[in-house]
Amino acid sequence: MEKRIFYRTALVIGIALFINGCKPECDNCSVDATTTLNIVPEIDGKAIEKGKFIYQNAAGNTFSILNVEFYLSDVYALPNLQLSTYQYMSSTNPATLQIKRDAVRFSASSIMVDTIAFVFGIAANMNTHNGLDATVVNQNMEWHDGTQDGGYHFLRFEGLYKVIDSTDKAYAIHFGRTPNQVLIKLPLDKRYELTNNQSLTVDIAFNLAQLLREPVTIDFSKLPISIMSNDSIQQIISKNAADAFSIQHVMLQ
Amino acid sequence: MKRLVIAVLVVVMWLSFFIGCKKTTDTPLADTPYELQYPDYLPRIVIPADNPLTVNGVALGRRLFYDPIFSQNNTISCASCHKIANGFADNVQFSKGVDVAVGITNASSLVNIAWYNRFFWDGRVTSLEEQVEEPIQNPIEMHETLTNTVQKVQNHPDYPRLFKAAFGSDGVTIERLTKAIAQFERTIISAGNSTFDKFEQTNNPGVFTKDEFEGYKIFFSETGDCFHCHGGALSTTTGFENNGLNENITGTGYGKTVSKSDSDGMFRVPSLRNAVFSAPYMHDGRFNTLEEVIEHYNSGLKDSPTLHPKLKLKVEEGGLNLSESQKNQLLAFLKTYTDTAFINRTDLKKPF
Repeated sequence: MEKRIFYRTALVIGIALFINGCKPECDNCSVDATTTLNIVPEIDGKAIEKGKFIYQNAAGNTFSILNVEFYLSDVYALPNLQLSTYQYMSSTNPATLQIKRDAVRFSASSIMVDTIAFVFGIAANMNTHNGLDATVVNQNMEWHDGTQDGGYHFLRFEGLYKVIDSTDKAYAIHFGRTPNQVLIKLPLDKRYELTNNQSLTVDIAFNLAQLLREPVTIDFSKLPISIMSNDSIQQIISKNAADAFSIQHVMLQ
Repeated sequence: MKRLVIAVLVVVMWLSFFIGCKKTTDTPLADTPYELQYPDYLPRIVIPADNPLTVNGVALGRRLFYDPIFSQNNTISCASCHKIANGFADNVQFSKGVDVAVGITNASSLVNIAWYNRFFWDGRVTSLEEQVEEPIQNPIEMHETLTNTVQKVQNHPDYPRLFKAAFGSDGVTIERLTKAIAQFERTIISAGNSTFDKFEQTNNPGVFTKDEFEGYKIFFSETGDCFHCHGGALSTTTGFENNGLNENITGTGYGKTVSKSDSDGMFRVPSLRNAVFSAPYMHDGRFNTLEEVIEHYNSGLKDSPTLHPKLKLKVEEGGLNLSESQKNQLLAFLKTYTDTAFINRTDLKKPF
């Protein structure tokens, strides 16, 4: 009899402990904090200025930039804050270069952030025909190579480069196609804790020059005109992009 | 007996109430919304908050669109240069205005105009409502003042009543007039019925003939590289590009509009939906047939500083270099954007 009472008591205490242990630190807490990522496209520290021949790549091409458009997707402030499912970005439209997440409801009284992580391009599960919202911009970024199911351009990077004794020639780095997406993980200098009314701003440089060097140098004059259907070039850009993003500045206020 | 009288009185009161409340007309109220219908694979249309579409607003706009009352000599209407049979474009290079004055650009198609946010070939106007004012005042188009226009419409035997139905009072203003026409123009939607749409809906290449599908592959690959400007369900970026028509581009097109030389020579990218109806082609109507358009990209591209980079790369190779057979296949595909039901839509035709 005593044994029975003992076991029953132990069971009740065990269940109580289990329930209490699983209980969140804070039920339905609302952390009124803002997290902002500013993506800054650049060429080795130089800002993007449309149409100016002020850039040089590793292959020695002097070039201008007419257009830089790209997507980031599955954007997270790790360990557990999702900032965006996907975002279209354009160098000519500064508003698109910012990802902002306002107040969030969390089972905690603060938000911890130690790493920024995202996919450069559109994550594979969305990178299908009509996989993104039907907007003019998204449809303009659709990727086709004779089929309907190419998904979206991850990057369009276009401009002109100088050629001796000739008129300026064009380059058009169009990058896309699953599985060429690049997972970028950028650890912050420390773990940041956001509490109510605080904001965390992270500036991230996107160095396009890096796409044109390391491990493989890209010379505009040697690029195939049909770049989209060229798998080896697509893979080179994917590999080169691995270290194209870097944390520039972090500010907690 | 007293009970019976009371019961009869109650019944009479209820009957009076219902009869009194019954609408005396079938005309919808001013605020009856007009719902635009289009497939879900097209981008959502953003309607200006200050000009929501209403059934009466669209009906008024349609009537105004077809009425030559705006022109100085009452001979030219919007529909004179934007004919439904021609995909709401004109079938001549330059349209004739009042006194047979001739324009300087080809009348652009109004098909799917609701998705654009800049208007005219050079994008000089940023709202559809504002766009309406220009041809009225243009000396080589309708050549009328806005004041006279408002006066003529106000004095018309029918319009004050129609304005009241659309806007709540019978006062005619240029703002109401342009809003009504813009409302009608936003209903000029062609999508869902073409062979291309059937492919969008099913992803089944079997909807195409063999040549059409080969043309599709040329169009949607870097072989023809048409899709960078004419991809998507709208078949246009809705933006502005230089497509290699001229070498001398200084001070032309969108560059003139925004006073930036890096946009010189750029003109609106037209949708290819219903292109078979809207000849001649380009902002200056220089090409009479789609065959000529294809040949332009195939062998006639002219280089200039703002030429689209993808076309500039093609220039280096001498153009698209398509074979005769490939050109025919591309033409066959372009025709799959045709929506014959659209040009027969009774709700878009002249209402009187």
